[in-house]
Amino acid sequence: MKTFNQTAAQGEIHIKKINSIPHGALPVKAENGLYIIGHSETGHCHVMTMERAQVFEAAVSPAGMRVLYAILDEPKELVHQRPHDTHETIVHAPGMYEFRLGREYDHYADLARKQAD
Amino acid sequence: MKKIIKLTTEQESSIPEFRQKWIALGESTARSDPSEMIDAVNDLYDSIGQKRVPVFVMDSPLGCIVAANLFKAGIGANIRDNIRDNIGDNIGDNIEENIWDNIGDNIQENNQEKIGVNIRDNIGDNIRESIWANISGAIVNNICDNIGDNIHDNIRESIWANISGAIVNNIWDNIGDNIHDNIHDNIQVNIQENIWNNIRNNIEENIQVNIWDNIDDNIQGSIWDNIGDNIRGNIVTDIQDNLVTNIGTNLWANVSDGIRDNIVKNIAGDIEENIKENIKENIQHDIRELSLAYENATLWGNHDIGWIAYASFFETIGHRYPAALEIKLKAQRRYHETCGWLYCFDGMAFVSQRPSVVKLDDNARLHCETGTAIKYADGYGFCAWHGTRIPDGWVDGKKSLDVKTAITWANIEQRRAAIEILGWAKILKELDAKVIDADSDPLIGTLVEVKLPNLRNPARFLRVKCGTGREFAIGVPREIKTAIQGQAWMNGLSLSEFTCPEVRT
Repeated sequence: MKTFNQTAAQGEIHIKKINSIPHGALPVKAENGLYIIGHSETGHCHVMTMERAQVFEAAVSPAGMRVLYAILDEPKELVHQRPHDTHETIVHAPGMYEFRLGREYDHYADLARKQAD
Repeated sequence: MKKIIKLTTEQESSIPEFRQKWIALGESTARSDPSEMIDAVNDLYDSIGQKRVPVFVMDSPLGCIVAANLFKAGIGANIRDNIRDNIGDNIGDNIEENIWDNIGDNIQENNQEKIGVNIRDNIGDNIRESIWANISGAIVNNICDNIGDNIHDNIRESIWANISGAIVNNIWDNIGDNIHDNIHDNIQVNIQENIWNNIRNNIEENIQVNIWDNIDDNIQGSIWDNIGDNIRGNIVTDIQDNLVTNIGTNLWANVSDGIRDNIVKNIAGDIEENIKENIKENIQHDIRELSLAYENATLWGNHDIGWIAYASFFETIGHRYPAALEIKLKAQRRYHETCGWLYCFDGMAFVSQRPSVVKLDDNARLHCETGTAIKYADGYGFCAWHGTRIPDGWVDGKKSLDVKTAITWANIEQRRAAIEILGWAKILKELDAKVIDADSDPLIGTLVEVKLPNLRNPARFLRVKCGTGREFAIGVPREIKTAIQGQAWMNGLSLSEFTCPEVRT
């Protein structure tokens, strides 16, 4: 379990501590008590429990990616739900955070898209 | 009984051997005697005071799901309807024409001649024999004479006792071969379109509609209709959760925290991590992908054996559970030691054999470099590369995996696996790669430019390690000049906005 001060990365998720939630960000609903910060098509999501936390999504994100924000009223763990090759849990102190979900470039489609795993 | 607060040296040293024994059970590929499996499931029901239900033994969890789907779709009703409609003289013709010709013809019409022939050849005879041997004698005579209340019992006794095993085992034993030979790579499409849709559309509609209304009142409520909801919730609560809670409470009272933690860590946790999480989740995901009505398994048998091992360990050091709890645990242990996944429905249950092949790497992840990593006797299985599910052709002769496929595969985990399978050296050589920029930090990576087939311009990739130490290739635009600029772009940032993470996991 790791901690950080300003920036961290868990797999394809780039995490940064911020001072405010950008205007226009839209609330994200929790699913089964969890905020899914990073979706995985194979079910190996990056998640955070919903208690005393609010998560938002940027109204406009760079092409092919999502940007999420969180307000955490208590320490929260970002957990990678994979039994093997697991990205170690990162503990977030109370505060506000930005999560940038990595993208990549598809040379055949000639466009940016999310990194799917 | 005095609370156990310390393990003896001997008890402590017995943990590794005990754990290994249970891991072996969890990874077991031994085929169980179906009658023992049925007895084990019956024991489960007995142990919680539930009425026993007919239990079908299938070769795989997929077989259980498909069988449950078929029963829900009314294949049982179709057989029954035929029987009812042809109580007079034509039972044989109708069964043959309506059921077996439909299966055969429709599958053949869909250019699955091989499947159709196999099903007809392999299933038809067996089922015909079973139907003739059992329906004609046991049911027809009884139905003719006793079409009232006895019909239920007759159908139940005759079909369940004599036909169910034959039909289901024959269907699935033989479809298993077809799946293996004909559908292995395309199981979803073929099952859905060629078997599922044909059975559903042709048998159900052709036969059920004609006859069902006539005998609805007589037979509704029979066992065929009683495959109701998946009763996993009830069963899990009854069978497992209460038991786990009771065992937990009992152990808490009788065994010290330190010892319990030690056993959890060294036995239950280890087994769960190696077997339950790795194998179970892969199978579960795989089946969920199919276009069948997905049913969550009620219990996962040998793939969920960690907690049984945990509970059982304390018995080996002299702990005794209360009699009622012991009975339940014994039933659970018998089931977990004997069976694979179990699906309990209202009125019947399907239980799977264990896999026939399980191949793991040194870290107990599903892995095989030459073929399927897990396989069941009916042909269901899949390939995996160090725990990552991959298309079968990638390691089965590697015919379908070329450099272009590997480097451009959409799923980056699978792409990583593909690149590992082929090896970076081969990929870089075949794509005439050149290094554009190599950062000293492997977590920032190396920017390479390659020539991809059918692309006019060269393409750039960032060859980079993640926090787990695994190496990925991430496509970046051609304008990217340095590895760190690539990192910034991947995160939607300009170079000046990007800060290297303090921590990477």
